[in-house]
Amino acid sequence: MIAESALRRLSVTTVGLLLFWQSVILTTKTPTYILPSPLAVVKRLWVSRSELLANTGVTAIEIFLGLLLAAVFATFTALCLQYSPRLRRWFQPLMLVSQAIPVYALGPILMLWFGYGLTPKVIITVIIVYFPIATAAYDGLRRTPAAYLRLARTMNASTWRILWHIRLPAALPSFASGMRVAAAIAPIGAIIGEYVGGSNGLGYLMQYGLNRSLTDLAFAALFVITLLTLAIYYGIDAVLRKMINW
Amino acid sequence: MVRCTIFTAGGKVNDILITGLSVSYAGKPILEKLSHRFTGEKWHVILGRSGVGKTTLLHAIAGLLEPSATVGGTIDDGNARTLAGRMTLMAQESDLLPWLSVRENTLLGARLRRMKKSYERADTLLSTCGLEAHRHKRPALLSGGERQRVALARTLMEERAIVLMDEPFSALDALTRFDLQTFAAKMLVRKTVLMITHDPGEALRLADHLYVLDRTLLPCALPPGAPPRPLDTQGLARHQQALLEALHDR
Repeated sequence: MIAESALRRLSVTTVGLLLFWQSVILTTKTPTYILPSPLAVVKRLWVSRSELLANTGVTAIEIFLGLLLAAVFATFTALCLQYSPRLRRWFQPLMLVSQAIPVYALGPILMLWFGYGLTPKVIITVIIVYFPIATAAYDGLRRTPAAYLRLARTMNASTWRILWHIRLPAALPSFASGMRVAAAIAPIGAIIGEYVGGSNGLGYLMQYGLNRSLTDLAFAALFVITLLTLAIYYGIDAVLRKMINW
Repeated sequence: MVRCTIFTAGGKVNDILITGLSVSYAGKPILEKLSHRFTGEKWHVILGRSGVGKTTLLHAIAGLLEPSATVGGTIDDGNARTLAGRMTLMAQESDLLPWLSVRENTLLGARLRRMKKSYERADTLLSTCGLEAHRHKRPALLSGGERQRVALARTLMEERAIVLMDEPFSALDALTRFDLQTFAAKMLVRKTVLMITHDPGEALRLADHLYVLDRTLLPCALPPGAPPRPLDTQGLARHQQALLEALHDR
């Protein structure tokens, strides 16, 4: 959780920046379609609230599905890497490739194959967050304290029981770190997907606003994206802390 | 009792017989042609400086050597029967699982072997070890001494005849260590205990048989009296001095 003093510093900085922003606009008389004032953005947030909310829902679903699928694939990969040296040789380069792919370039191809709906956005999100989760999960599985394993072996535990009762729980804190990183970067995937092509979502709404000189709408969408990212991060962090509390 | 089947006419129960044990890692020998019989139901303590292979010896007996180790020789119970399934391990580092409660840690063996957990017996043991108030706590909330008591309860829960101890008390403060040595000596009677330590005082308090490991196991003289010996046992200081000198010369 954020400490109280950190929260205070954050609000002071935010209010200061907003005042600076507003005063720049007032003194330079910048037109709204180039840079809307904070007040204009706040007004837009209120006026377009239902539109923003509906699109937030779409983006949030993309992010959640992406995170969920990536977590499943990543866990599966980590288990394969841990238990099969042969699969390790096959999978490890693949994992790296998933990180090397320029997803922005992949976007149009995915649209071509899967249309403009939910699927390509989820795929892009999965590609972006798969790597950090998989590496963290594999690291966790690999680094089971040797003392736990020695103990389990003198207790005549089978490989399967050791995996289930020792290796997996011991890997959870590391897996959780991977999930936290993933939670923070997952919105990038969904937003890129919506940018490249789509008819809803916060990324689409930003694009829409910019194309129609509704710059205040683009800023409002940007603000909501930031809030959504923070909410997802802290939400997942809270759940993980609750579940992995040792 | 089924357990009686391991008694035979020829040898005593649960000896540990090591014959020509050699262990090396990547061509570097750690133990060479080591032979010894540790008699059953006695407390054997092995002293030695770091790197002489104390832990390797213990792990060889426990069947815990790395796959990369080259092993020669045999280890059995003196009647050509394997020791597997008759040993339990108690180590220095706190190897309690941090995600399980004290009680579930005590029952880890049953959990790992997929056997019915005897909560009743676990609770009795935890009470004996003075831990009834901590049953449902996680190990992180316990002191070092309490954690080692849990490890002891878990060791006893296993009901194995041979207990292998790898510096089980070395991370504790002096008072806690003293208390726990006394307690462990009481709880582990009639077990075959093999303990390694680098603390001569501890060795002299607890050993029925004491050895310094340095290529071979050299037997050492012990003060009179049965373990756990009080610290004012006559000659304890003299023996300690002799042991320190013996370790120093090696």
